[in-house]
Amino acid sequence: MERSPTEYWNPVLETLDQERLQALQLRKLRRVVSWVYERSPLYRRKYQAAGLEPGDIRTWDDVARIPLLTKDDYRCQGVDPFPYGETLCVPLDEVTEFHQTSGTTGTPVYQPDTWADWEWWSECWAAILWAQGFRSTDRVFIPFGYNIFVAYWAGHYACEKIGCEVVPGGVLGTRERLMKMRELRVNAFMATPTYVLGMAETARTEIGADPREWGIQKILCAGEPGALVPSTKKRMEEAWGCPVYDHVGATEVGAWSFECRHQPGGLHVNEAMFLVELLALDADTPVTEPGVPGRIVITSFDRQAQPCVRFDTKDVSMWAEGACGCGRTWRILDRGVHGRVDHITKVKGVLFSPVTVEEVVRSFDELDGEFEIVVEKRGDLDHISLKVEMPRDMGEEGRRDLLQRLASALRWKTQLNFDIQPVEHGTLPRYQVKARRFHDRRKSG
Amino acid sequence: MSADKVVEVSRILGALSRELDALERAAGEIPAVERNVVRMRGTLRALEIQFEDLAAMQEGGG
Repeated sequence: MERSPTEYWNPVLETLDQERLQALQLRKLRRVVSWVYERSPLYRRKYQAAGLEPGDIRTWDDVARIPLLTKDDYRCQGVDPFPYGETLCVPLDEVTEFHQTSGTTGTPVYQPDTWADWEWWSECWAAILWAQGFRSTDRVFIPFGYNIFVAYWAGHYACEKIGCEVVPGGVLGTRERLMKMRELRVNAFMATPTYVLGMAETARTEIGADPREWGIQKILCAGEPGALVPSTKKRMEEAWGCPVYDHVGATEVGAWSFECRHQPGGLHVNEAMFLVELLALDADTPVTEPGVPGRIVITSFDRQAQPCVRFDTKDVSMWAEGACGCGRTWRILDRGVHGRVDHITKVKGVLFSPVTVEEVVRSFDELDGEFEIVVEKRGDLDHISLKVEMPRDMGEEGRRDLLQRLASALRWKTQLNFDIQPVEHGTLPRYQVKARRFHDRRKSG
Repeated sequence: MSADKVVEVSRILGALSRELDALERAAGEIPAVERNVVRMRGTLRALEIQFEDLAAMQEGGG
């Protein structure tokens, strides 16, 4: 793919040489460390306990001295100034936006933003959409009920900033959303990978239409991994007949990464707005070489109400080698987010990542792609089972053959023998966001 | 874009910020002006964070 003359949202920042980019990052890091130290009792306490003053951050070697922020640190929320407590860095009357995390991993975190923060959110999203080819000529559908979760809110505002025509598709059911998309001839939309696949299925089975004929030119995925799992991406792109791009962000962090339209097999980090570090999975030592998995730790440089400084996301990725054809100098995380540290676990003594199962299951065209993994103890031994939905009209012999091939592929990819439990089509839950397909019941006892 | 342009864009953003200060002062306590200035400042800041540091670095501000 050739570069476009208008490839970049901000060509100055997106093509900065490494030396100037690092100087910019250090300058911004020092400023945000001072900002939180002066305004947040929580940060000040943490830094003082570590013997750190903002002025101590002079070089990149000093960055490791900055304590990590975790979800547990947000436990101070719910007290004065209510409801944000000691993480709030601006007067309460400057807060104009409230959102919260989904609470997937514990108590939800409240996230305040000022109006300037909200402009920052949409600016970060605008850079993402622009990199994926969204322009003012696009009519974009957002099939998502906007609410207390930040998902797609900023995407909506960024579409407006770029000049796209935005169609908000909240409240409507899947079938009605699809009818509206077809009626208005929208040419782009945003959704989770699970929902992108679910919508295509609904179009085929309930409307009797082939969504590849609807003129959709691009799809942005966010909210859960999948758009960088090759078999899932292929499934989505074949279902809709257009490219599908990934984006990863977080409520506490912002919209920090994206796949550009050159599809480099990973996520660009917006390094002008965020510092992304990888730390070892079981220690706080930096991972800088490509191909080595690490925990993603992120600092948002320019947020004011409640910035995160060295936030340990517990997500796992690895640096990619080489540059992208788009010409951006921002580094790439190979294959995006691979999963969470607490989901990458040993089963029967073998290191196991649920995303590998997704890759295998969705590489089988006969399967509809829904699955559920359960790991539990049976006696002293680990037991791993996989529920998969079988095709509607497959005979007994075909099912047996399919299950054998699936078991073999899983064994090859994971070194584990799965107890595969076929279930009827439509049995497993359909998610719109935050699909929960992996259950490790050994931990819950 | 050349380094000179970064400095020039940053300079104009600074001038716009001062104009917003002036607008707020001139309007006194008119809520319609005050609240719209807050929103314009938000938009302005989305640009300042992309240019002001680079401009300062260009001009030797470290």
